[in-house]
Amino acid sequence: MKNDLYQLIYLSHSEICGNDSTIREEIEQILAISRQNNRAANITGALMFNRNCFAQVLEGTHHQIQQTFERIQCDPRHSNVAILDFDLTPARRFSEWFMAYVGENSDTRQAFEQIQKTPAFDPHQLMGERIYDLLHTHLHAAENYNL
Amino acid sequence: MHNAIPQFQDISQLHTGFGIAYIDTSGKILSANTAFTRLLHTQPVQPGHSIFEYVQHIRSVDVMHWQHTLTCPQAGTLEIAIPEDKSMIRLQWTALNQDHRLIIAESLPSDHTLLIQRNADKTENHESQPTLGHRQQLHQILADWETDQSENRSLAVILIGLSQFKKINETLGYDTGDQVLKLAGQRIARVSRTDDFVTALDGDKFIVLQTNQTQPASVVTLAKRLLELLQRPFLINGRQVNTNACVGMAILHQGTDEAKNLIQHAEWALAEAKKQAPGSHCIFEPGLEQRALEQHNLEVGLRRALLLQEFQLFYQPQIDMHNRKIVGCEALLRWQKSGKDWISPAQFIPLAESMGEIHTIGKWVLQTACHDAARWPANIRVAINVSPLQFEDGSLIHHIQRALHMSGLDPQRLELEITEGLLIRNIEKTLEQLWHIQNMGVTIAMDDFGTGFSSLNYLNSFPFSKIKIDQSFIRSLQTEKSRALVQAILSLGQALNMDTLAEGVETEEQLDYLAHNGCNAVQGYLISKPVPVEKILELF
Repeated sequence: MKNDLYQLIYLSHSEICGNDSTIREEIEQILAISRQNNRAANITGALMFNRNCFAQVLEGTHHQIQQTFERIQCDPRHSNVAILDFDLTPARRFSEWFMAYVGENSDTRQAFEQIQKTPAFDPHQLMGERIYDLLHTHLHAAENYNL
Repeated sequence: MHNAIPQFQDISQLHTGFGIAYIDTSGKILSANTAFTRLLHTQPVQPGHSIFEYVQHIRSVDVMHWQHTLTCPQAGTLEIAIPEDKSMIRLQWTALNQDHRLIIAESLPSDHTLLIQRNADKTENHESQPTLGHRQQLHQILADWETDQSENRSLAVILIGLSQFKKINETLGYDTGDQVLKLAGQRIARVSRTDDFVTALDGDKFIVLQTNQTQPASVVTLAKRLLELLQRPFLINGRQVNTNACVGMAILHQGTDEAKNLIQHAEWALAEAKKQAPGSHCIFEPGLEQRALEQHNLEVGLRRALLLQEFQLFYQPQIDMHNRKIVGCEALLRWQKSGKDWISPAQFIPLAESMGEIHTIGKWVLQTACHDAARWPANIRVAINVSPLQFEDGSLIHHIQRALHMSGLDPQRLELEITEGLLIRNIEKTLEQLWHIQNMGVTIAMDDFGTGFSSLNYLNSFPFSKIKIDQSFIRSLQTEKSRALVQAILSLGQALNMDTLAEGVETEEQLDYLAHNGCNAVQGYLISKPVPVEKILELF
């Protein structure tokens, strides 16, 4: 289990207050620190943010995900953390990204809001997979168009 | 007002695993034990000398920083690498008063199990994994705390108890339980202030000691944050694990006069918080001590009450509305503790349930009531209250059969009163037992109808022989709302072919109203208050 690859997908509420530039600064800071930490811990993943929520995917060993998640849990900038998926995964899907970021522009925001409105008949499976796919698709689209 | 000069005890001969030193704010040593010398790898520490003489061989010691730190009243922690054996030493200091500091030194071994896992790479944005202090240090700090009214320095204890931790051990294994403790400890340490002292207690409890903060604001803020954090999921062994916690707090000079009592007082506050919902917090106040002791005495008393024959059954007659004759009696449990105070069932029944004593007490009630009723006229029934917990271990049917057999009471003359709460949990298993009991010939009444989680579904799920209307509705019969409710229950009984009995009837007006609206039977002070067994025969 020590070296097995796991993925974690969670949603949380943002507690960041302020105007757009304050929020942007905070997000940039979160990304900068998480990229630095993740590079060292060999964690890859993606962060999605809209005005109210974070969705994050982390990929790495059990121990590294656990420790990273514990550090994230104690960050006062978010609350109501809900784990959508935590399981073994055969391969990294964000292998290029120590922490890729999908902001609130583009179609992503709309799609993300749709997910939150989805009736939660099987929230864990459905939402986890959908968020994963959404992040993956949009990041690669952005990469291809060099955005 | 001058501070009294503290008389520090000579601790040079104090043999402990960790080093202790008393110093003043200039760094002059007042007393230190041999472990302190040993840990710092230096020549024997002598009182009167400066601590800086003994740490000059350690390159990582920043003398300016130390000098500044010693003058600050805040507690703090410093870790240094000892060049001689490459060990890591943690120094924790606490202000004993304006001029004196206590330093505790401990080594940080590489195999230190609890929470001393240092991150090898320093990539966590200068955040290494948080560490917990030793429990002995906590007691040392509390023992050495000098109450100084002039400065009114504050000291407070936050005691965190994880809820349902036993269940995690049982269902997910001890390894998972250990990791929950480890990660919970890390979370607590991570969000506590750097000068808070955090340590694990036995089992599933943690303590945060706060010095020099504005109380109670500071402990309450931290308690709320900790409670929120501890209910968030943990990732352990490939799984998501959830727990939650309660917090008890005690604050020096705010209900607690001596530092040495803080932990005990926080324990009592924690016990009080646990009585409320999960995630609750409570600050100690002197009334809690009295309550905790009373509760303890009550528990001790309850454990031996059966043996000492302190329980008695009283019986309250129930009359038929048409001929106004007694048709049954409800058995009511009374407890006279140590031959003195009568303890209310509202107080001791929940306690007996939480202690598990309800099973033996319930068995005694069944046997005694059947035995008493067997000597009454054959047309008079006895009604017994049964706790939902008595249905849980599956032995209730056996106890009923045994009580009927031993007493020779006709099963038709026994009635069990159950409450709506019974049907909320484990409904299938409960219904199975109810059917079995009814097939034996025993009747089953729904007690306190309308007060609990009333649902018509419950009435529909089982053919109760009787619905008992709670006395709170009868007492307020003068109100329109109560009359409407009582009428609705009476019609319901008629429609479902279940008898109705009104409790708590105290006036002729209430009796007349119930008679006119089709209630089948009543009990209450108007007919008779509950009486001891020897008196009940006179009423038949």
